[in-house]
Order: sequence, then structure tokens, then C-alpha cells
Amino acid sequence: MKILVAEDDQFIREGIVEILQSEGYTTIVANDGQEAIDLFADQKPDFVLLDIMMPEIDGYEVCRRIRKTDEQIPVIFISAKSEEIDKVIGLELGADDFIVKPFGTREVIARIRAITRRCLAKQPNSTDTPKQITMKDLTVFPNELRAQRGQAIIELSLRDINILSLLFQKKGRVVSRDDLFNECWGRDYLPNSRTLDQHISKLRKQVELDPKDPQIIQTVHGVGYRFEE
Amino acid sequence: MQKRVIITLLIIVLIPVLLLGVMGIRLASNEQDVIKHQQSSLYLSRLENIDSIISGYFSELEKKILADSIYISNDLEKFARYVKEEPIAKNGIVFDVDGNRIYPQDGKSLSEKERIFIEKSRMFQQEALNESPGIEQQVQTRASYQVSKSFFKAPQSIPQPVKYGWYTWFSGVEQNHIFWWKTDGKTFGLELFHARLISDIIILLPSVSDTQQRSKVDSVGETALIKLIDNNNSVIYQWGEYIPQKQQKYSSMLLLNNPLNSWKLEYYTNPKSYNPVFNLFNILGVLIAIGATLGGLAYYLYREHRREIILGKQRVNFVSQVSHELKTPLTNIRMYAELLENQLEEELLHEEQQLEEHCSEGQAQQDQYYDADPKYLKHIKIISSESQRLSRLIANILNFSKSTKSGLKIHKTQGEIDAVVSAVISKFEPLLGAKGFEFDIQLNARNLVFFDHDALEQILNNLLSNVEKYAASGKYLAVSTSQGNEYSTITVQDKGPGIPASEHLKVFRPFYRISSKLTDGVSGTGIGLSIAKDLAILHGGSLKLVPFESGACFKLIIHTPVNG
Repeated sequence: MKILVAEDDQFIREGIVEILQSEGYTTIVANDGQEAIDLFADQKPDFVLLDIMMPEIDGYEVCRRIRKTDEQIPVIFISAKSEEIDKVIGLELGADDFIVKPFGTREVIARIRAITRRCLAKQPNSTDTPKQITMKDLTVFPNELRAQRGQAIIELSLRDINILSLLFQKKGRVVSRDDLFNECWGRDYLPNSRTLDQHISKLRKQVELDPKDPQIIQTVHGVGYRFEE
Repeated sequence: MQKRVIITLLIIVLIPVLLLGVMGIRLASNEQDVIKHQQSSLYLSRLENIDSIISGYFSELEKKILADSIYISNDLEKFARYVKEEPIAKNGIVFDVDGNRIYPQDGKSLSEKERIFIEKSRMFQQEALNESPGIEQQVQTRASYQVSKSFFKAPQSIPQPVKYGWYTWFSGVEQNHIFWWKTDGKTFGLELFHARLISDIIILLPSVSDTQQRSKVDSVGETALIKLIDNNNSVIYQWGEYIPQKQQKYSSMLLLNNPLNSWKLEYYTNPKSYNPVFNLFNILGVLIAIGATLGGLAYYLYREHRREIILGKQRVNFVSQVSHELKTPLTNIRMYAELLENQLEEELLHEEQQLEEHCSEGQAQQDQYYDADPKYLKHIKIISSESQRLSRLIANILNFSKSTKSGLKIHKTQGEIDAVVSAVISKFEPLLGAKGFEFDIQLNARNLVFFDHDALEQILNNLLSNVEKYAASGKYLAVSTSQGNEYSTITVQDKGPGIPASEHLKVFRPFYRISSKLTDGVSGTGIGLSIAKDLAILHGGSLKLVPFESGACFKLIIHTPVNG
């Protein structure tokens, strides 16, 4: 999924991008309103994160122009002022959500996941993404970014879902580290074994009953990972 | 607000001006009365002064004639000569004890003048003899008189009481004066020249425009005119330069004393010649001056007031601007601290798992390279939690500046009270845990209801932050939630030093901080509880400090309808 992040503060922009990428999204960034409008037309992102106070064209105007070409695309506003948020809602700009500064990573993740769920639910049922997949005692709902074991609900990121889906698709076979990287991080991403290992460790902590004795994501030393029924 | 200030200032200006106006007008009318009274008594006293001069003239005349009478009363010849030679004497008449006229005697020797006089004085003859009240009488001792040197040169005689007086009557328009006295049973009457009397009196009065003060009477100059009017209402004499208008009434009038008792003095002056301090013009001027001064003062106060308001607004705007500016760096600190925290957690987790795997496979530990130290995670958690504390502080300042500016707003969305409560507690858990706190959490508000998540979070943040700051000695935190039909209740209690009963209401006031050994060293802005209470009230509920055996216990009730 591709997200357009329009924010004039470099560090906030980079931080958000890092959070989004670690969640498994592709990002495009804009420094100001005009760039956001151009990139939107050019790259067709799945949804947009818009700061209100931006040079050239402010977030309200960017939203208005985006809405002219696409009424459905989710827009999340970022602002330091809660008054501005009132305005966003009051003006009926069609904002889907808002994030008030100063925000934490968990808040951004929670809101992005909520929007992603809505996007995925709206998507026409494609054959390659089943409604649910069962991996041993774990049931994964790819479109809901959730998994369930018994009564326990496990919240997952888009990347987690992609990894689990890939392992499920190739069940019984080894998925190489390169394949995992290419499929779940994208071809542009520079492979880094630590990143992959750490992510798998984190995912195991979430989905495995005993992360020390993984049943769903099994390590095949020197090659990659495997899911076996 | 602005209107009220303007109306208040108008009242401040108008009420004193009106009061002063009413008082001024009353004072002016009083002063006018007093001045009128003073003036009329002044005029009267002037007229009385003139009257006394005229009376003085007559009494001098009386003295002179009475002194002369000593020598002329016992000899009719002398009397006859006196009548002829004394310039003021016109005619003389004498009656004996029986009332018979003994001078001038009837017969051919009676001159025409004497005959007319006798004819004219018939009334006096009757009255003089009957001693009717019509004749003014006085009893004097002759000895008290100096003898006029012009006529007689003789020693004083034995004092003898004498009756004398004036008799005035009119024959036609002419006025006649007889000075009479009784001695040795005889009655003497001396008619005086009227014109001579008048001219003598006029000489005593000031000239028409007297600048040399030859008279005893003060000249009145341009301000007045005094008229001497006789019994026929004709002006005998007048002085003063004031010209009265036609039909103008005199300002003061005095009837003269005997013998000119049918004469009068009239005093004419400009009725508006006086110039009181409190006339209407002056009052109006003073009122305008006072009104202008008060108006100026009121305007000054109003301007100061406005300046204060604008300054206050600017301060609030500045605070809110600065707070907003703080948010961007704070976002970065918080976000990057959390990113780092996540990363370190992941690394630690991964290393832990690696370690497990390697241990189980019997590999040596020394091959492993560790770059994640649990200490780093602790450090970064502190940065993260401190940036969150800073976020709370900024949120408090902004809410406070909003509550004084345009008012806080509540946005209710559906959710679970317990989720927010446990999220806030989990934020404080590491901090309180490090201080050795014991927790007693009983959450029973799991229904989906409508409430403002941020407001509830902020209220709880403030309450728990107070527990952390002031009740650390109690090492105990109990949070419980419950839910009724429309309301949710959350209680937060600790076992700290508590809040004295006298301070129970004051702690909710903005900027109020209890001063004690325990709190003096603790930092704080003093607006946390005030904002918490405002938010609770705004949320259709309340925040109260309830009595509790030890420590403080806050009870928060908020309106949480099931349907938005």
C-alpha cells in the first residue's frame, strides 16, 4: 500500500515515514502543499497524511483539491492545534481521521491500521487475498490486520500479514530470506539480515504460543523460514 | 462585556454630574433668595439712612425753635417779631388757656397772609386745643436745647417741661407744616415755609451725580436711582445715574418719619445687577467641566481596561502560540524516542531469542555481538515518558488558555471507559512502580458509551500526576471505575499526606497550590485540578474530593450516554 505523507517538518516527516515503512507501507513524501498535489496526481497513493500548516498551499486546500479528483481516498490530518481539527471536522472536508501533535508511534500506528482496515474492506474481493487463513491454531484475517487464537485477538501490521500470507501460500516449502525481503519489504529495500531477523522475532512473540519453540514460523538455518501444517 | 463596561462608566460619569446639577440648582436658588434678601435689606438700610438724615434735620429744627421759644413764649411782641424775621417761619398763631386765639388778633391789623393762614389752620386750632391724637406730641425739657445764637443772646432759664409737636395738613396740593409747643397754658403754632424745608433737605442729599461726596449720604452712582416722592406722588428730588425702565417697580421703598410721614423714598436698581456665583450659566459651566473631567477619567479607565484585556489576550495568545510551537520539537523527541525504544526492544527480543537458540544448539556465547543494552532501553523510556509528561503540561496550558479564551469543547465519541483508564494507568505504571507503588485497580466500566476520550485522559493524567508528585510517600494507588445508566464514576485514591478539609474547595482554584513542607519542593503550575474540574463539568459531571480515612480520594463522575 502506498501512502503520501505531506509534512513540512523534515524530522516529523522522516519519523512518520519510518513508522509507516516498519508497518509495511510504501511511502511518498511531499515537503509542501504543491508537491503533495503533484505527487498525488502522479503516484496515485492509497491514502494521504496531511499536515495543515504547510508553506505554499495549506493542508485544507490540498485536501479540497484531492477531493475534486478522488472522493473516496482516505485523508488523515496532522496538526498541532486542536482548533484546526475542529475546523477540519466543521468544514466537512471529508477528513477520515486526525492526529494531534505531539503524537506517539502507537497512536500513528493505531490510526493507520484503522484506515488500512477500511481500505481493505472496501477493496473488491481479489482472488489472491483470502478472507481468512488458518495456520495451525491461529486464524489470520488479512483484511482486518488481525489474527485470532481462541478468544485472544492479535493486532498485526500490514507487513506481518504479508509475511504470514507468503508463508501460508508456500506452506511446506522454505521461503528464502531474499524472497521474503522482495515480497514484504519491496525490491527497493536494501536487504539487511538484522532487520529481517528482528522483525521475525517480534512477529513470533505475537503469534507463537512459545516464541522459543516456534510452530508457525520455523527457522531453516542458512536458508530462510517455513510454515508446515 | 464591552457594553457592560461602557454602561458602568457612563453611570460613573452621569450620576455625579446629575447630583451636582441638582445640588447646584438648589444652591443657586437659595443663593438667589439670600442675595435678594441681602440686597433689599441693603437698599432699605440706604433708605433708612436717608430717612434718618431727614429726621435729623427736623430734630435739629425742633431744637432750634424750642430753644428760641424760651424767649418768645412770654411775649407776644417777641413772637410776632420772630415770625416776621425768622426766615423759615411763615406764620405764627397763639392760643390762650381757654383756647382763644390771642395772636394774630382779629381786627383790621390782620394782614391778608394772616387771614389766609387762620383760615387754613382752622383744623389745627381745633385739634391743638383738644389735644387730639392727630397731633404728634413730645415732652421735652427745654434745658436740653442750645439757644440759637442767630436770634437771641441770653442766659439759660430754669428748665421747664414743654409739650411740642408737628401738625401737617394739606390744603389742596399744598402741604403745610406747623411746629407747635405749649407753655404756660398757651399753645404756640409756627407755620414753616414748605419750600424752605424741602430745599434744606435737598441740600443734605447727594447731587444727581455726586462725585465729591458733599453729603452724608453715599452716592449710589450708576447702579441705582433714589427718588424722594411727596404726598402727591410727584418726585421732589432724585439722585443716582441708573435709569429705570418704564413701568419698573422700585426695588425698595420706605415711608418717611414724621413730619413728612406721607412722603416716601423709592430705590430703583437693576434687578439683575447682582452676579451670583451659582447662576445657571456658571452651574452649566461647572457641570460641563466636571462631566468632561469625569468623562476623561472614565475614558482613561476604559482605555486602561481595554489595554489590560488586549494585553491579557495577547498573553494568552502568546502562551498558546508558544505551546503550539513547542509541539513540533516535542513530537520529534517523543516519536524518535519511541522509535528508538521499539527498535531497542526488538533488538533485545531478537538477541534473547538468538541466545536461546544458540544455547540450545550448544554454541559459544562469545561469538555473539551485542549492541543492545537493557540500560539503553531504560534511558530511552525515561526520555519517552518525560516527553509525554511535557505533552501533558502543554495540553494543560493550552486547555487553560482556551478555557479563559473561548471555552473548552467536548467531542464525544463511542468507546470504553476502562480502555482509556487502563491506558493512562499503564503510562504511569513504570514511573509509580519505580517508586515502589502498590496498585489496586478495579475496572468495571466496559460498556460502549459516548465520551470525550481526550478529556477523560487529561483529567486522569492530572489526577495520577498529582498522586505521583504529592502522594509518593503513601506508595499506594487505587483506581476503580463503575458505570450507571447515564453516568460513569471513576475514583482515584492514594495513601499520601492527604488534603486538609479547609483546602478541599481551594485546590480546584486555578494557580492555587497548598503550601506545606511536602509540597513546597514539588514543581507544578497549579492549574491541573482546575482544568480537570472544568473538563468534568463540561462533560456533564463533577470532580470532587471525598473524605477518606488516609490520603486523598478524588471522585470523578462524567455523563456517558449509551447513544450519542
